[in-house]
Amino acid sequence: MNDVLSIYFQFKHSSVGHYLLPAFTIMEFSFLSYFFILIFSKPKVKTIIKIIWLSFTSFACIDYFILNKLESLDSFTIGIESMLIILFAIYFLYINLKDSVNFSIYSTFNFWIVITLLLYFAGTFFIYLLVESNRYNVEFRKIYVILNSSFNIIKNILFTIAICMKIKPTILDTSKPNIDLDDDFIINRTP
Amino acid sequence: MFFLQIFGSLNSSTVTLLGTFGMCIMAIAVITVLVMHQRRVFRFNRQLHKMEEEKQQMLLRASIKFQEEERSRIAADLHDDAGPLLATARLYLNENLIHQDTATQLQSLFSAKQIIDDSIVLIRNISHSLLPPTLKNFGLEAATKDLFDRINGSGVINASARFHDNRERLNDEQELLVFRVIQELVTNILKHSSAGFIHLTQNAQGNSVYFRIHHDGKGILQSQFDQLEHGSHGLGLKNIQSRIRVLKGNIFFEIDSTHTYYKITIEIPRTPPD
Repeated sequence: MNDVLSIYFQFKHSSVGHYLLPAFTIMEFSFLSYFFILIFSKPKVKTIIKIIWLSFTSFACIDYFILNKLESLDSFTIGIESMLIILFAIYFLYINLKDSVNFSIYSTFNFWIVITLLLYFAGTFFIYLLVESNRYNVEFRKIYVILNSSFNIIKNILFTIAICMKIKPTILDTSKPNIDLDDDFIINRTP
Repeated sequence: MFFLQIFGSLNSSTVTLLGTFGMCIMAIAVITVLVMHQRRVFRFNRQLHKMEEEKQQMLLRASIKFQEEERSRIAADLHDDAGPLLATARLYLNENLIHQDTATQLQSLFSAKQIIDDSIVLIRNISHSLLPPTLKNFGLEAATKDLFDRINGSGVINASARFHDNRERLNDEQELLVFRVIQELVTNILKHSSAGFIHLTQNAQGNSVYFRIHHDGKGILQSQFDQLEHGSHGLGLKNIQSRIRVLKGNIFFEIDSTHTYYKITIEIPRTPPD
């Protein structure tokens, strides 16, 4: 749907699309931050992501409305967004690397989503970073279309795999009995 | 500087391609590390599973061996004790008895009756050692208390058992297995620990029933239990473990914080988890 809308605005309402792109970046980062808040279990990490989200959104708004005044594409903001998502993804994979002792991470849908985000944002990082400065460069535009389309296809395939995955919860109960059986023993021993 | 010069001489398209390529390599490297780590984890888990299977096999062999030993013991008891007794009784009741005088006949009959009575007691003892009638008729609580009373009655050791919450009893099969485990533990304590007292407490919480045996003798800890259970010796301990496995329960060997007595806790789920 994202891709269809993007093509629609690009061809039919290019001027509206120009205004929508900054909003899209903020919305995209907000959704992805929310996704990472959901998948991380540590409250401390959740708080850090919330702070990062707030800082990024503030920065993006200042960049669009004050510094750029909606005149150019938000290449720099997209670059920062990509870096942050890549960092979140690597951190998530690192956490899984440490904890995935009793289950297969391939069978979790979070893994496939994160892998998709990592590949997509790593692959499109440079093209988005340089797109504004090469807006009229024909050769660059060709490369942009090829790379962007390729990574979009990869992203969509991996997202499809992620949707097909079912989460299998793993329960490890190693709790020892906490019932106090010694009380009676102590009572029994006292003459 | 060198890299900056190189990048300066390149056009945007080449920089984009090289940059994208580099980023992709980085992403793929991260994923590869993760996949390789997962494979290693799986290999480790497979090894663990294999070890677990070997352990199961060992327990099964121990169980079979124990059964064979038990059969041999019963066979020896019947052959060495009941056999000669009945043979002697038969000697008293031979055909020549009718040709003898009444006094001798009475004497022979009395002796034969005595021997048959002894044989009955002997066979009853063998039968009781196989399945205590108290357990069959009155359940685990009565059988355990009976066992502890008999130990206490010997005067060698102070033994007591107390059941707190036995309103919801385990099923017959579970009770028999728990009784065998308690019997084995108590036998071990009597044989090896030189304890002055043994005390058993039962309680229930949620879906589980707990039994704890305290004794002040020389006991073992969980690590020693695991070691002995894996070793070639310790048939009794292997049997305890295999019975606990059948019950899908747990057993913990501990020492109290003051190091004055040992604790063995058995946790049995009423309805075993799937």
